[in-house]
Amino acid sequence: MAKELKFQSTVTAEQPNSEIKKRKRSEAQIEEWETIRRQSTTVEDKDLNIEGVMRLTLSVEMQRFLGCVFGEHVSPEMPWTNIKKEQLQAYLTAETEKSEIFAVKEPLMEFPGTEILVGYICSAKEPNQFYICTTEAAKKTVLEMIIKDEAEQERRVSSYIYKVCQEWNPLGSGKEVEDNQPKHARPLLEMQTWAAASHLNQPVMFQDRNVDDVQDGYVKFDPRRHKYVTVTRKRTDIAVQAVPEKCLSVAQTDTPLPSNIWTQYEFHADAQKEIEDEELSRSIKQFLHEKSPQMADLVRYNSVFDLYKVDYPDLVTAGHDVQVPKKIIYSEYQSFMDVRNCKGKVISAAAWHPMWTGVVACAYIDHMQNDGIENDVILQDVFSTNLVLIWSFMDALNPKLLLRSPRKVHALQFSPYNENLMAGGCSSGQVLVWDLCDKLKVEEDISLSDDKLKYRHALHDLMGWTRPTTRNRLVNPALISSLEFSHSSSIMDIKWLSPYYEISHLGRYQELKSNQPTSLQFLTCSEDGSVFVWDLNARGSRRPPKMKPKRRREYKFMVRQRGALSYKQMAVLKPHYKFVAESPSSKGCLPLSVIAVEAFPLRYMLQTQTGFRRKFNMTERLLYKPEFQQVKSLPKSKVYIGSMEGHVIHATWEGYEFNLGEEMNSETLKFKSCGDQHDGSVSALCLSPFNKKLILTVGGSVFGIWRDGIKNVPVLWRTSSVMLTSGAWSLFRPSMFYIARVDGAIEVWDFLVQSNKPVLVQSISGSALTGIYPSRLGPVQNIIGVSDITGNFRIFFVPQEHMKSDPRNETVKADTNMEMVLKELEETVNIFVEHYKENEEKALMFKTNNTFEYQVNWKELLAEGKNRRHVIDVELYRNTGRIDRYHKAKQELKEKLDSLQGKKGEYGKQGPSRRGDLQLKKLSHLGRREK
Amino acid sequence: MASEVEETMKRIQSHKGVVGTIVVNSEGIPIKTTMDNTTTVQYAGLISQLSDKARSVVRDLDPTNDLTFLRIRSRKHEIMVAPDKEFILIVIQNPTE
Repeated sequence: MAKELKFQSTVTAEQPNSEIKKRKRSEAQIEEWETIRRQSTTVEDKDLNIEGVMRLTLSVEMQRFLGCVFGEHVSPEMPWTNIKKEQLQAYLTAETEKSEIFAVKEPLMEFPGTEILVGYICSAKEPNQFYICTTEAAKKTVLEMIIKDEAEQERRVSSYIYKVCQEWNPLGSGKEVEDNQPKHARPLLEMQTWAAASHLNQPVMFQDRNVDDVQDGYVKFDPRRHKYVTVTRKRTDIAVQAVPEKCLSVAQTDTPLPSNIWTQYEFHADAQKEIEDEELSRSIKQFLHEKSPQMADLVRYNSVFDLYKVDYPDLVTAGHDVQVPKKIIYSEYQSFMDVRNCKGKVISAAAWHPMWTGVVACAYIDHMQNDGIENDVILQDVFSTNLVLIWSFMDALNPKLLLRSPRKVHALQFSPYNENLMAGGCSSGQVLVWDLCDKLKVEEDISLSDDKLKYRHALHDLMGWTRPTTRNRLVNPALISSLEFSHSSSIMDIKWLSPYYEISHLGRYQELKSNQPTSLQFLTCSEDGSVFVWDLNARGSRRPPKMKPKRRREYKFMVRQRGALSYKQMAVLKPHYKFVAESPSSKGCLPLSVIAVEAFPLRYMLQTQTGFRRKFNMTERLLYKPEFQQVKSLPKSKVYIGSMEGHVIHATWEGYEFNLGEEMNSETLKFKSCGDQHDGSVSALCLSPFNKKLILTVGGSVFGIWRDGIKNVPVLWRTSSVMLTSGAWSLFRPSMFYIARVDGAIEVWDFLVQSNKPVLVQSISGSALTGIYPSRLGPVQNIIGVSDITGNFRIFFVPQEHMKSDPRNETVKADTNMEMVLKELEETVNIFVEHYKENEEKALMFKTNNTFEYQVNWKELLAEGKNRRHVIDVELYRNTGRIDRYHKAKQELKEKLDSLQGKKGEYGKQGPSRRGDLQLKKLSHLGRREK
Repeated sequence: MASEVEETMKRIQSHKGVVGTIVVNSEGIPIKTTMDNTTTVQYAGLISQLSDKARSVVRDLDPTNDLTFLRIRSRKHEIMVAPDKEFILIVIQNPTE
């Protein structure tokens, strides 16, 4: 049995999913089964105790007919099979009732299904025993039983199979499998979802619902069957903020090497103990009682007076105060005096050459008190020699050139831009022009040593028959204006005009014609009250007079061969335009003495190569070259004139638009400003080389500084006890000027340093000075020329201190300083004039020194002088907070000022009162000290 | 009692330029002061030594003489010392203030 079972199990193991189906078996196998069946006697023949299952024997033929042959359709393992009902019914109807099957004929005929289950009974003793299910219920039960048996059988077989555990041999698929397996990288998130169910039980309010309003407003139903896939939500995206874990670590560095350390010892101080001891406390009290008054006194004294203060450093407030003042003097360098020709003559005019250093022209006239022909003007003019000498530094004894002149020369002026031309004005009113071309250059070569000179002289002595060509020193004027067209009286001053523009025939400034490089015009003023404009470039309208001596023409011809003037220019010199100045007080002409025009920009460039020389050689002639500049605007038609009556006039003219048809147009000057502060003929009128608006005038015993824009009054004027003869601005310091006096002294003024007296008075000559002429030589040394009444032209060095722009602080621009001072002065004058508006004439008559002092002091007081004593009081009270005293002091100050002003008024009307004068002086003194 | 001493010291202190006032006993230990502790101890120790020295100088020169007052003028301060048998009064003043 066990063997059979084992066999069976192997079979079932081979075919685990056995079904009830027909299988063909081999005959041998059937036989085998038969024998097994026969031999198995122990097998119990047991019926299936199921209702409706009938046991019957089917013959082999029947089996074949029905399709349930043993070994073919059924087998011991699969004993059950289905047979067709029709076949069985056909068999039942066809066959006789001999067969056993007829016993179950009725139930089979009534069987509702098409197939009838038939089972072979293997355990039966007789062969061909079959079960047949006659009812549906039986069939169902049998089928269940079959399934059950099969399952049981399978279980039994599988439990019998011996399985050996072997090691798993991975071939690489494990990884893939593993990869495909989802793994948890983090703890699973627990999610709870809930819906608000509160609305479920609430009363429903139906309302219109638009489909488009909501997302799931409609559901689409497809016409065909559609399976909706429900996607389970398995993943939830959730953001987790990754924060680095907080980490705290501390490291302590230990210095392995010892370092430098410092220690500070400290006084150990115990907390102050209260004086508990009665005895001690009393003794301290006693001690303090004794000592504290003395100590308090000392402390008080110390706080008031600093007994040990060193005062010496405070005594010096400015460094230059400590220095011993250096005496500044003008030391003489040379003097030019031609004893032979100029004895007893007066230098009437002198002019430094603007481009050649060390060349000066001096005009000599007879002294008024010259004996013999004195007071006889005609005789003087006819018989005296009227010399103009040109001197050079190289020879102090002999003049380099001797310029001839028909009459006395009163005015001389080199052309500032043409080095060869010099204009001169004669006493006859004629204008002379000398051409110095090549005349001065000749003597330039004479730079021989003494030995050579001696040798040369000796040679000249031997060669008695020769005439020295180089020593031809006489120069005749190249041009002389004819008397017909000249001033009717003596020419007093000459000024060259700007080379950039010219004054036309109509009296207007106009630009140059393109073919002209520069204009050659100058102004002359004369005693007859006229100012002429001369133009050397103008072509003479008349032919030269025929009666001119032949020799003269020859000479002229000779000159023009190599002269500065062309033939056309030589034709006839006649004035270009005429201005007439009328006297402001009386009808008639105003005799003019000086004239000045606005300076034009012109720079001189050094032409001579000086090189690096240790010593500056005075005698070496430096040649400068004028450097013309671009001038944009036409100069204003204005001229400054000084009259012999002491007027200082700022005049303008307009010119004509049309030619009046006269041979020479003339125009009366319009006076913009006319001051008559001078008590004598104005002898000098100089425009400052630094400040265009500043004019220095000297006349009589008064000199004044005028400012363009201030009418009729100079901003500053001083009266001297002696007559002043001339004046000139310093070329180096804007605030400095020189005044020449009749007693032979020069005054040097610097109104930035002091304005009440000159900074220097130096007596230069025993006789009266006639002119003062500063000259610019070069950067190292400069000179000033002074002419005197004895015909001596003396040259002085300008001290180095007077060449600096500012003696105290060179960095500060003296120009701006001066501008400030001038502004103040201007204000002063304005106040002055305003105050005496009602009595202007009288006010202007104050030509005394006091006038100015008075102005300044008054102005200082008016400005509530911040450094005045009263104001200091007021300030003090205000600062210390004493309001009552402050107001009182302020009131006092105001009263004081008012009273002073009142006194000024009286002073102005009635002249200086002794008391007021004293008070003013005192105040001015005070003010100066406080400054 | 003590308040009266303080009053006196305050009066001296109230003068212009006074930096501090110290009362020191004969051993150089500060008893009363208007300055901070460290400065006070410094001044007290040093000035009392100086005062003793100055006194001995005066006495050595003339045994009948005695030191009554000591003023030390420095660039910044003036230190005024009034010595006594038992105590020394030190006032430091800045006169240039």
